[in-house]
Amino acid sequence: MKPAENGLSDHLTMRGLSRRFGSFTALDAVSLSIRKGEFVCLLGPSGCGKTTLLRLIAGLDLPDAGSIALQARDITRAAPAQRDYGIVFQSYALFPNLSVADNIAYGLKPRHERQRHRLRVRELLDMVGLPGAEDKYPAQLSGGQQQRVALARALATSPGLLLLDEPLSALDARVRDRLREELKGLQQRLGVTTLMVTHDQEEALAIADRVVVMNAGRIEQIGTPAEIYRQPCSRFVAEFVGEANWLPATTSGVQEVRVGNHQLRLDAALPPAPALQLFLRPEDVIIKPRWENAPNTVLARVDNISFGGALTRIRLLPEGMPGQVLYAEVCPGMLDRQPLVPGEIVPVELPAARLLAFAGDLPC
Amino acid sequence: MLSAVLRWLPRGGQTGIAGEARIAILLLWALVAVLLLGLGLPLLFIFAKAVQDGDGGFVGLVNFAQVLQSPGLLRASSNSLQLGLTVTALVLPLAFAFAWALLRSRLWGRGLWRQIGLSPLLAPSLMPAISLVYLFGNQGLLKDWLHGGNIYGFWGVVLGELFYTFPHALLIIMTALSAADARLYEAGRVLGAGPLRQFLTITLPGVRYGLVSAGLVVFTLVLTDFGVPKVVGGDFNVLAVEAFKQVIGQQNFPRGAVVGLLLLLPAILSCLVERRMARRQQAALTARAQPFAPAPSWLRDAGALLLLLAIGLLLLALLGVGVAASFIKYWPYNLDFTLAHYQFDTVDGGGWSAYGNSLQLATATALLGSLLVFVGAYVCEKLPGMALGRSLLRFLAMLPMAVPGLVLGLGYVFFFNHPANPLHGWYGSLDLMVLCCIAHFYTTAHLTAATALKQLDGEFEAVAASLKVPFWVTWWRVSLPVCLPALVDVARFLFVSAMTTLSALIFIMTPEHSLAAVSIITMDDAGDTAAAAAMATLVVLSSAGLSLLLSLLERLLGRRNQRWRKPG
Repeated sequence: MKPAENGLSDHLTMRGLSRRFGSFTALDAVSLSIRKGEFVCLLGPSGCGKTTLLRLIAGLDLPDAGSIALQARDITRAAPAQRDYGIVFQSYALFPNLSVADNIAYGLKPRHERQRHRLRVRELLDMVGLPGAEDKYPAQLSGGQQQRVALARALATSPGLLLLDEPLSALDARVRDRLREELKGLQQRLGVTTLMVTHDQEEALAIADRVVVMNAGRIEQIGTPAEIYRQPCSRFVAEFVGEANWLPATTSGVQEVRVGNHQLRLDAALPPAPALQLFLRPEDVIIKPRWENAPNTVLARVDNISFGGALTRIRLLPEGMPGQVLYAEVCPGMLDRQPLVPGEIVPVELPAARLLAFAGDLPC
Repeated sequence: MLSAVLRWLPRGGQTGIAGEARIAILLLWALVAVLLLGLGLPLLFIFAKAVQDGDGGFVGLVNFAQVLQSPGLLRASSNSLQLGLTVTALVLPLAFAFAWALLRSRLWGRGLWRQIGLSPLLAPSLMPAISLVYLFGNQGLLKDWLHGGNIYGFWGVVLGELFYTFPHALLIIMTALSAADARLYEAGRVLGAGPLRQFLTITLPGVRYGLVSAGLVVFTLVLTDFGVPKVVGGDFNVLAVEAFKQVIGQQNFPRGAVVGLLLLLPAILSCLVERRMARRQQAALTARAQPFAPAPSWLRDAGALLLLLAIGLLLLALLGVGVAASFIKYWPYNLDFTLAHYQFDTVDGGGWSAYGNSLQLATATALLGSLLVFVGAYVCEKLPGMALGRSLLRFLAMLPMAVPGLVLGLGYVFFFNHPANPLHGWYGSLDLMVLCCIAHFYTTAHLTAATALKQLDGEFEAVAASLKVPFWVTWWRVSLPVCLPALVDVARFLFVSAMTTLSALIFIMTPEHSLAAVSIITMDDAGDTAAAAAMATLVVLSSAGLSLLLSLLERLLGRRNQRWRKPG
């Protein structure tokens, strides 16, 4: 279905979905639209409702309120088989007594057309990078290979929607990184609308076109990975995604705050609260080669330096902010000065363009 | 609750796959109906009968008062209690010793010893009683050992019940003992605990739940067993026999119902205790536990061998004497070999036709029962929604555990023999006996199947649904093949149980459809002990034969179909 045909480009639309289990609200009026061909990640801590949402879309559970539409067709209460999707679970759920070929051909119809199925299975195995594995059994495959078979099985019937429930969580870090890339490549090649659930923020940022951050049954923010990382719209998102420095501050003017005995300026607007927490990514902290009296620049003592491969991580103790620790991450090569030594005092800029302020006393 | 069911009813306008949900609901309620018919309604009728007089009028608790005032019944109750406690106290140490020798030694041939330990399962509870009669009865081989005493009575029953309940206790204790964590023993050794201290502080606490649960099972089995006291009880009257006398002998249904309810008490109590314990036991063995492997020890193995020999020989003697006696012309005076006792021409009880009936019953129970149980367990464990129906089905599946066969049999008499019951004509037929057997042994079979199904990935059905494959295809192509070993176990259990059981069926069989286990009682009552031994031997041989056959079949199927189980 081309978007131009009916003017709708939304492949999957959820409106006001709620689901309660007893007194626990797993989903609270969640609305979300996914465009055709898009790769969307549901990201959040365990218990945030992301898996519940996926199960509602898959028809494995039914909502208490709200509606789901797939290609403009209401499927809120349709049986799973009446929807059009393929699914891959964290456990892969490969049928242990069936060969790889039989697993992949499980949903192909009609069942007696063996010859046609064999061609399709071969095509799918080539696609997921496991050629010639037809006659093996799941127990004979590694975790990564099983994951590929599960993916091939989910794609066998060419569904319009692919649902992935933590598909990479059970794998080793190295295998996971490679499969993540392949998955993204495959998804782009096939153009299949994909919804993936994950609790791994790095994975979500790396793979998704858009990330949906969820917390306590609600959507906190929807955006591209860069938006989520650069402009978190809530304190929860800022804390959940990536690492950050948190500086307690008080409002002291329009876009001006007081931290310890320093006055800092922000480009962003301040929330209407007296107590604030300033947010700054470690890589946005700038260590200057020499002191100059510029706004948002403070002196800090180098407390500790830890080597981290591409980035060096520096623990700083800013002067005038008792007890405050500030982390900076810098590329060793881009540091325009002599190597840092613990104990030395350096000028540090907290760029106004990068500082964000959130209401609240303590980091949650 | 009903809305939860209705949610799964497909809405109009969607055909084809919509039928799937409807079939699931139909299947579920059909299973519930079968279990209600074979279990729920008969049980309800016992309660009803207990508060009615002989003509069906409501009399409240009069029957209970009468039972409590009757000295014979009171004595039977106290006898039953005494018997249950004695057997439980004796069988637990024996079974524990046997299990320990099997699992904590490195003896050669432990598999064989295990089979010997479980061999009483193959025999009706009458077999040890008959063997005891041959050994210590009036013409017994070892009668002199008793110094003029008599095997008929309390201690005879105790011995017979020991044999009958031993394998049940052994199975439970073996399960508890095998769940040992080697890391605990290593920690104990490192901290300087000797073998005795390790045994007292690690082994015993580890199996305490198993011991309690085995004790409860044994106690209930003894209280409701009917065969042993009937044959070697003599004047020693117990509740189980009393219930039979009241109902079949005197046709006093209300009083039989009250006795039946009394027998239900210990079983219900056991179930409650067990449930409480099961909740606390959850964390007994964590996923990270290391399996225990005994270190080599010559002394320990020698002790274990002695234990196995002593108990094993006793078990084999109680099984073997009856078998041997059935082939002997005239015990103990003429020990020539003969097959004459297998003619059954001159004795009552139905003879070969009774045996044929039993075979038919056991086969039908095994086939229909395993199918029913597997579909039921699948519906319980794997199908979505239908919360109300599924919990009802699960409750009905667990109920038979708390219902002794004797009580179930009484319920069948009251319910199916009721003149107003449209199924009245069914009474006494083989079909009804099949239903009774399936209901009677449902819990163990259900648990075996459910455990096997639970080990399957919970997402299989979800994947199948996403691929638009109906659940019965997945049941047939995946669940059933993967659970084949459990299915064979269930079929074997149902066959052997139906072959050997007496307690429920004795109430609903009619002389036209006699059964092997029942005919043993008839023959023994008439003094034809040799024929009774012959029939008991037939039962043992059939049970053992089928078990062997199924093992072979399993191995054959395993070689052909289960290539997927081997990794790499």
